[in-house]
Amino acid sequence: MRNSLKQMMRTPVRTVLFLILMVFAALLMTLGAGIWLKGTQTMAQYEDRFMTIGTVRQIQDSFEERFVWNAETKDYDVKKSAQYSDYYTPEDLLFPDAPYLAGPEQRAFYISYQPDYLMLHESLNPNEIGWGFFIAEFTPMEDAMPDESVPIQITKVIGGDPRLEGVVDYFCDHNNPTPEMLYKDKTYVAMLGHQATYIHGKVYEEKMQSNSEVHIGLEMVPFPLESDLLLPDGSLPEDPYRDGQRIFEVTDGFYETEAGRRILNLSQTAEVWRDCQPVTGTNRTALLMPFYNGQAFITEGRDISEEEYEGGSKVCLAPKTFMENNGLSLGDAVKVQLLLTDRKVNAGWRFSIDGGIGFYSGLVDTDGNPLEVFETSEYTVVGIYDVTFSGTDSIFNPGADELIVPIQSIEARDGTNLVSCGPMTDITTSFQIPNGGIDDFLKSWAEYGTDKLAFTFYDKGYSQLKAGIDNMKAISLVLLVAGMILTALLLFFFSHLFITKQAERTAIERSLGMGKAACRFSMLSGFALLVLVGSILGAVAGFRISVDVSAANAGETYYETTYTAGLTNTVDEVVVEEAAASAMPAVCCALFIVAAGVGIAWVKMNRSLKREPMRLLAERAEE
Amino acid sequence: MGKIIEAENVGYVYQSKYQKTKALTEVSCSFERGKVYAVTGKSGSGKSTFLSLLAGLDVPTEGKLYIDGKEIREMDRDAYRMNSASVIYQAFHLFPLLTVLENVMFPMELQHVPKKERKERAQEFLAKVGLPDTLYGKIPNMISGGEQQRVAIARAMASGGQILLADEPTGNLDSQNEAVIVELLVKMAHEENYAVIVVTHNAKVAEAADVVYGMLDGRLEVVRG
Repeated sequence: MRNSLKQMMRTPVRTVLFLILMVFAALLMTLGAGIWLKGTQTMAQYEDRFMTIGTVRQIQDSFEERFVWNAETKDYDVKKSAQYSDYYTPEDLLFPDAPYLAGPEQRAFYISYQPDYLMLHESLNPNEIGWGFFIAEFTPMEDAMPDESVPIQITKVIGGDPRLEGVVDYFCDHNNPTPEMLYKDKTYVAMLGHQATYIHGKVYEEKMQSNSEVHIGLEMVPFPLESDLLLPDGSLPEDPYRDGQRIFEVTDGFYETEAGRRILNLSQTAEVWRDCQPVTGTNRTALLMPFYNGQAFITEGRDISEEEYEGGSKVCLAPKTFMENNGLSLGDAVKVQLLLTDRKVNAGWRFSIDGGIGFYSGLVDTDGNPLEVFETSEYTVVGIYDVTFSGTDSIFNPGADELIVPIQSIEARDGTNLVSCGPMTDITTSFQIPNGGIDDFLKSWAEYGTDKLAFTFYDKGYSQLKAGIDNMKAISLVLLVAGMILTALLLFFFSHLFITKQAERTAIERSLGMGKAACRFSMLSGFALLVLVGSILGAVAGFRISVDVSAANAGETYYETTYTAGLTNTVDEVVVEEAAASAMPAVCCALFIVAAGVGIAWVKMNRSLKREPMRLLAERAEE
Repeated sequence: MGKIIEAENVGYVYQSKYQKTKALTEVSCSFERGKVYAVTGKSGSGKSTFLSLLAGLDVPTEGKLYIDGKEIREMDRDAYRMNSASVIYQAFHLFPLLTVLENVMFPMELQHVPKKERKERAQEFLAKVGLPDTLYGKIPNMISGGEQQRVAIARAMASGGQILLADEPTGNLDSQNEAVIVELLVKMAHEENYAVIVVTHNAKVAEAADVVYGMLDGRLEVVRG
């Protein structure tokens, strides 16, 4: 071996060049393999942490124009509403080999009547007056045609906040093109409330002309006495009060009439909104966009388990404010009394997390009887969640006091006391597919599905991240292959120089009595040592660089992907931990290069040894 | 003087995948220490094959070849080349990247002679072949052909064997160097008791030999003896 090395060192340029090139080739290979492995490991980690959710929106077939009288402009306003020939259902989203990890669900939310609990809006505004709508008797301050804002005095609150009694405010039969005269010596009754119409007419002009500072507020309008109830299929039942009379004169025996009885029944439900809590049924917490987006996050306890979801366990996730307002703790039971079902929007739409409520006004059936609770259960709180207000303009906002329960736990989940119904929308319908599966999904859907359903996918940047890592892996593969090719070329070329071209040396050694094994060792040892040193140096350098490259990439990437128990929402926190750098690629590359080098050299050496020395040396003499 | 090499009806057939070529046919002869033998013949007559068998680099396909009374097939032929027989070539075949001194030391390294001793002995052999010590540190390409051949002879001596096989040893030399090498070979046989077997075309080398064999189409005949 010493002689072998000595002879190599006497061709220093060739030897050093070989060593440097071997280092470079090993560096390329290790760098490529290191980055590739790192990318693969990182993706594997991301696979577990990321989630791809799709939401569904049915595209309307047409728009229907509805003409609504506007007393202020004395003209009809055109109101457009989307029309659907039929509603698609989650079953329509099933197609052969559909890749759902969590199948599509169109969520209803249920309204629970909770007189025993304190709701968020009450805790925020304990003295709030229920202006939303109420049923009251009133008298105009003077004879007036309510085709503009006219002053009235509320004389008796039949259903609603009693503090409204005696209040003088402005009133207009705003949407009635043919209103009837109101007389100051008569008493009227109506379901009153505010809608987005301001005081107008003479009163407005007088106020504007006066020098005093005036406040132009909303006027009160009469609401129809119709039932909000829909048929189970979502269609409207027949109801004579839908477009019927809204203002009734209170005469003797009026409350004995059908209209009078309906008013009395409606008045019983006028304060129900104060004690209502939304309950959302789902098959998986992650399908709820507030949780997926991180706007809602579990701060205490745990998520509802898969088994609990599947088995329909009576467990729930409850908001922190609700728990605090009612002195409840993890593990306590919440009594739920389901009163209404809404299949059109999500809880956040009706029960705003800032305390505002957009409630239903007609909580009677088509016969005029007050709606009753249809299901009562007790749910154990297994997780308490909190919400941020950072996304309050989002359509995905969670609802105030919203309880999350397994949909299977609600027996009458198909829609008893249905008050609102609509097509699948982004806020009600979602599903989960494998990460990176968006393109495949859309491709399959284009083949099997309808273009009447539109999808929006949320993957928290997984696609971009994967594309970035795939790019990095592609580059690393190029490096790896380039390193392998360079290694192979170097090994073939330099083994030719150091072994094949040294056949004469082998022949001389043989003729001097050196055995084949000794000749082989003599020739291979120096070559193998150079390959070993080169591959180790290159592998170490490649390993260092690949660690630095990966660390540099990791430093630029921050993702928040979880909503699970015990984790608070810290948007800038790195939650995907970097895998520890593995020296495996470096070791493997070095071993591969050494094995390849020895293998190639062995084959070439054997070829040299097969040649008969005397004949070889004689041939060279003739050369 | 006893026979150191004895061939009995030795034959050799080169066998390739597609054909057989008979290189030697029924060669019978013997070689003694203290003599110079010349084997002459045309190119392709089988001279080098014969020398290869004598060097133990191959074995006869027919007949028997005895070295010091032992049949060559039964010998450790690597040990035989290391300790008993040395070969010198027309093209010298020194290790091009080892110095003159290292080239001569090499056979002794194989025999595990201690470094100091092998250096002294190498210097001694180089002195015997008349090479000035100023050349000991040079690599073969830096010295003349005659000097290289003298180094090759010194390396042959260093192996310590008594059989020196030479394949056209003067083929690449001018007449002056040729005379020096021939004189050295004769001296080795006559003074150092080597059996020197020279394969050659050269009449002057044959003239200096004690016995001359002629090789024709693989058959060996005594020309002068």
